[in-house]
Amino acid sequence: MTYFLSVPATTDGMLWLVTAKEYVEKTGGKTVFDIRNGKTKLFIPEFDVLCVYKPDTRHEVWFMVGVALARGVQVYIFDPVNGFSKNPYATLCHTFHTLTLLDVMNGNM
Amino acid sequence: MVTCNIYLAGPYTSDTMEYLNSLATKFQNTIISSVRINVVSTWHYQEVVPQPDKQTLYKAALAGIEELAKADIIAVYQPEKSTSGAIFVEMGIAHARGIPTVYSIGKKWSADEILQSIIDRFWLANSRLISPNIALLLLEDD
Repeated sequence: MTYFLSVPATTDGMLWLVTAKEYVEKTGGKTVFDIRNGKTKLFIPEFDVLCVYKPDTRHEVWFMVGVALARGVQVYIFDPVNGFSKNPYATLCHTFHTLTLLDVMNGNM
Repeated sequence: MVTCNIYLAGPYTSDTMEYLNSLATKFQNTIISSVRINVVSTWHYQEVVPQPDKQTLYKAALAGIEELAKADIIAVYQPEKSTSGAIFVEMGIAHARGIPTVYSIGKKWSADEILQSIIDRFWLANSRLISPNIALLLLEDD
């Protein structure tokens, strides 16, 4: 399984990415990651699962979510503002406010 | 009968509804009257005050997916003003499915400009996606 992890270039984004990457690789999965700073050119590789961290105000990340939904792969959204996104399409994804990727992968939801 | 479904969308701003409705009317009544048009607002769920609940949003998302499945072309007005990001999800879905997308940033394109853009960008590369009637009607207008 290839996990595509997309995070903003912030301290908490990097911390989340490190945790997620370590966990996925420990469990035998592969990761492709994307650190977005507002100037990063968008790329959308082949993947089995898309995990996006704090997508709420980042349009290009929502674009990737659309691509993933169209491909029929699973999408996980972490830490939407107040645990809720007003983007209706977020309801088609798995959304988590306070849980870490580790919690989710362990089934502790 | 050849049909072409155009999905029109815009952010929930004061002028969007009027603008997109005027485009739809023009498409339907003058330029491509032989073509079936779907006009879909992606902002309607944002009119619910206070914040819509998850079930309302879920229904809106399914409706959007259903309409996108019928679309041959999507035309998006000022996507950068989208506050929810919903338009960008739709653009991503369209991209993945190979549906041509025309979008305007910061300006109101006329119906003619949108159609011309469709022809310029997509006619040669994706002729199968566009009704021959559109090109024919544009040529007649010229």
